[in-house]
Amino acid sequence: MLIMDNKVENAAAPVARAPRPVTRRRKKVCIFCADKVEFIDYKDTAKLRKFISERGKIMPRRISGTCAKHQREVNTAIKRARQVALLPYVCD
Amino acid sequence: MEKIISSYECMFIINCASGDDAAKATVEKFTSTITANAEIVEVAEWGRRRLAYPIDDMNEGYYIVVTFKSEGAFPAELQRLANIDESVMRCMVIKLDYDAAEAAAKKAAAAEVAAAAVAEAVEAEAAEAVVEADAE
Repeated sequence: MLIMDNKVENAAAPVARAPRPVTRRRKKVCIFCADKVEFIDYKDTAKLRKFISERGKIMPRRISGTCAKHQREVNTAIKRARQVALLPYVCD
Repeated sequence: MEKIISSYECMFIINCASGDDAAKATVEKFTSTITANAEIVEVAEWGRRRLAYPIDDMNEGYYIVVTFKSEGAFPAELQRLANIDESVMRCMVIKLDYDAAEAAAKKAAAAEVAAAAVAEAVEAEAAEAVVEADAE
């Protein structure tokens, strides 16, 4: 009997552990899909600035929330803007 | 074989160390070459602008954006000419995947609609003011 009791306790142990707090973040929506943007203009620096960090790096998708297709377009737009000195390559 | 015409956009950054007039002369030179070889849709002169990083130890440049429609061989030639020209600091030609002329027409139409809406709003406001004055 005693042994059996032990077993039961052991089996229950993992369940008894405090459950990991479930923080479900709201899924980000790609702002270009929401606005139905057809072409991301490299000349629109005000908009592109939202997609670069303070150091001038391009924001990853997991932070900006853009979809894969628009992230690719944002990438080319930012790189074009850098070529013509509208956006910096690095800033510190 | 039929010639394939596509839309291109070219951005020049012109050295404005020797004054805006010199920069404008260069602009004139390039726009005339483009007109000779392609159909210009739009020329936007942004004028003097601060650069995001120095190019050739310069902090400012004279920006110009030209949208045109041409055959495939011309953009490369334009880039070559711009690279030769001393007063052009940077030149970038990109191919547009939409029709530039159509886009420009659409933009103009949208601007007209917006202007009409503004005019209407102003008229409505004026009418309201009149009504209010009458009530008083």
